This record gives sequence, structure tokens and C-alpha cells, in this order.
Amino acid sequence: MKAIEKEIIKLLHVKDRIGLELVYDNYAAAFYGIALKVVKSEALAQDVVQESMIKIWKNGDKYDEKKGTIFNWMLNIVRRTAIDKTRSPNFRPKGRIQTLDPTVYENTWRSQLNTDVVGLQDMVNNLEERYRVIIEMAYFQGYTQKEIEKELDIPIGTVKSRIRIALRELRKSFNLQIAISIILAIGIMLSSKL
Amino acid sequence: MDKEKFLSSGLIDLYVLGLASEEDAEIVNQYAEAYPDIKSMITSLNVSLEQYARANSVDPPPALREKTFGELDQIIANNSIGSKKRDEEYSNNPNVPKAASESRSSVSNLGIGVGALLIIGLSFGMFHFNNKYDKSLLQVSELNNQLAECEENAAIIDNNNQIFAAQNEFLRNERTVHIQLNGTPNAPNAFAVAYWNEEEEYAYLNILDLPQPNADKQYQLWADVEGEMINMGILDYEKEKLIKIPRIAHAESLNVTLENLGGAEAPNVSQIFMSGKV
Repeated sequence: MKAIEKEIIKLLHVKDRIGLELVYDNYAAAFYGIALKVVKSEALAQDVVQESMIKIWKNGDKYDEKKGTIFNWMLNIVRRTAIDKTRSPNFRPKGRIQTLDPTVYENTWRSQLNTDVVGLQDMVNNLEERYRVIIEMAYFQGYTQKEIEKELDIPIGTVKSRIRIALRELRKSFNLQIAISIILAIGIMLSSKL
Repeated sequence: MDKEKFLSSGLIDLYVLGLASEEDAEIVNQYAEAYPDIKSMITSLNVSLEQYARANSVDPPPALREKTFGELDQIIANNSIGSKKRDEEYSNNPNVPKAASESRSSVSNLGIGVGALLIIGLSFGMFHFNNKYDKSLLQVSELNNQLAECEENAAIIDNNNQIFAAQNEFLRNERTVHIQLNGTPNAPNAFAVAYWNEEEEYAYLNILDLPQPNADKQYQLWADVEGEMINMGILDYEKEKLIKIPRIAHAESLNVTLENLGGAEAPNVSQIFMSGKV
């Protein structure tokens, strides 16, 4: 676990405001990106982030490491809050599935992408569309395998193997990214010595 | 469940996606505790997914931060839980990591170089190992899926075989006769053949040529029994396929009419498209 995560867990446990500030500064952009994908409205997505932050604050002392990473725990709160928004009577549905088509937000988030980690953009681009769709439905929008089966009209066996392949591809590209970052770091270090 | 079975069960996938039930999560935790390789796989999957989520980041407008913490401060004020003192302690503590700040190590460059080389070696080793491990896991899971798909296909083929065998037997039966249905002025080129056997309760119809009906229309089949038209049901428009139809005793002719969607109780005789004497 990263030091920052440990610190966040510790601070949220004792309900320290700084804990939530760390959460916001480290994760709000990721949460906002995901919320936009689900609710497809900037105003609603901002509400989602704000409400989620308050829920994270209120329930931070109940987080249990055994049930998964703090990031996944928070992500769960964000996507549930976002999905609840789409179910509210005021929500004008365009259909959750439509978030998977290239949307107006695509350009926004692509252009505002944090570029502080080497190759993140490649990670997204490298994932074939059919895998990206499934990962986004499952991970960002909390669809169950059965719901994906129904929504995309593909057999459950295919859903399972596509999830498996998508995760493997992500992991592979992430591993490769680390290797490249290390080589770059050493390259920079050696060149600065010369 | 043995380890291999667990690995191919897909529980880990659900777990890292945050979709596992509490019980399933507990099972995954137990395996992660028992097998360090499973634990490290879960960790790297988690990290990769988190990176993926970050790759989809969009910076929210700066005002959102103020709004959020304004609401938080109100909640804190209401609960009268202050943490000002802790804030100060926190900001004075140099050991606490900051999101944007990077700590610079004072270890000599040589040390870093050796360390970095070691890390490179290790990470490539891990990368290679992970890849190989992933590949075999994936193969097991894909084979399982393929097996399931093969079984499903085999069941479908088996079912089709039974249908074909019954059709074959019906068609080869010496008492089966052919009835030609020829087109009327409504559709001069229409043509179909019915296979009729007085000993069977059903028959077959093979439509060879018939115009495709509009979306709001359907073809319907009728048997003429002593001047009365008996409804034999709506015909699915499928050419060159044996369509199972009922056999009506004492039928003198078979007739196909074009009716409104859902069929009619009495035939629209001006819309007879095909007709054949039994």
C-alpha cells in the first residue's frame, strides 16, 4: 500500500479534515471523470463528487482493509452515488449504455488527462474497444456480469473471458509502463551525471 | 475448491472490480492469505485498475473543492468535532507524504544506480513471470469457456439432428405425397411444395418463391374442407426451409392468404397468393 493511502486511512479513521483533503487532491479528478461517464452532466457529476466526499468522510472510520483497497472502497461510493442519481425521477435518461459510445465528454477528458504518469494515455488506447467497454461498465458503472450479458447481448461466458482478458491486458500494459519509467529514470540520471 | 479451480473461477476478477459479494470477497481474502502469488496478483490488478481510472481523470472546476469543504465544515461545526490542532501537527510533520511533492533521496548516485539496475532486473523478471503465469491462467479460463460453448453447441446440433432425422423419415416415407401450391394472379411466380402424409398429424411446407410481406402483413395458411376454410395458422416468412404445419383431415386444398399482422379468423379470399389441390 502506498504511504499516501495509509495516511488517508489513518486520518479518515479519526475524522481528520486533512484526510478528506488528501482524498480530494489525489482522487477528485478520477472520481469526477467516472461520475461524468455515468451521469453525463457536469453539474450532476459535481454533485456526485461532493456527495461522495461527504459519504467518504462520514464512513471513513468503517473502512476495512480486508474488503479491498481504499481506492476501490471510495470508487464504490462514487459509482453508487452516481448510479443513484441516474435513478432519481429528475434524471433525464439517455440510457446508461450510451456512455460507452464516444460522448461529448470524451474529448474533454482526453484533453484534460493528467499526464504525470508515463503512458497512461497509451494504457487507455491500447485496450481494444470491446474490452474497454466491458471494463468501464463493470468498474466505473458497477454493472454485474449478468447485466453486461443482457445489455450487450453476449453470452455470460464471453463476458467473463473478456473481463479476464481486459484485466490481463491492463496489468500487462501497466507492468510495461513501470519498466519504461525505470529505464527513463535511469537514462535521465545517467545523462545528468555526464 | 483447489487453487487452480479458484483461479479459473473468475472470483478474483469480480473482487478487483469491486463486484464480489461479501462472501466471495471473504473467499478471495482467504486465498490471498494462503497464497502469496495470488496476493501479489490481486495487488497488481488493483494498481492497474486504479491507474486506468486515473487515466480517465477530468479535473473538476476549482469551485467544487471550496463547495465540498464548505459543506464538510458545516457538518464538522454541527458535530463540534474540531481538528485544528491536528491540522497544525500534520502540516508541521515532515514525514507526512504530500500529493504533489516528491522527496529527494540523499543516497549517492552510485547507490541509486546499483539499486536501479537491481530493480530493472527484478521488474523484468517479474514482468516475464507474470506474463507467463497470466497466460496459463487465461488459457485455463478460456478453455473452460470454450468447453461450455462447445457443450451448448453440441446440444443445439443434437437437437437439430433429431429434427432433421424426423424430417428425413417423413420425406422418405412411401405414403408421403407432394402437393404443389402455385401462385395466383396476386403473385404469379409464387410457388411452394407441401409434404403430406395421411398417417401423420403434421406435414411440412417448403416455400420456394413468395413475395416478402410488408411489416404490417403476414401470410396465413388455410385448408379447404368441404367448402369451409379451416385455419392452419400463420406462416413465418422463411424461404426454402421446411416449415412444420398441421395436417387437416379431409382437406381438399391448401391456400395461402395475405392477412393483417396477427392473422384473421376468416380468410381474405381476394388476397389468396398460393393454392394447391391435395
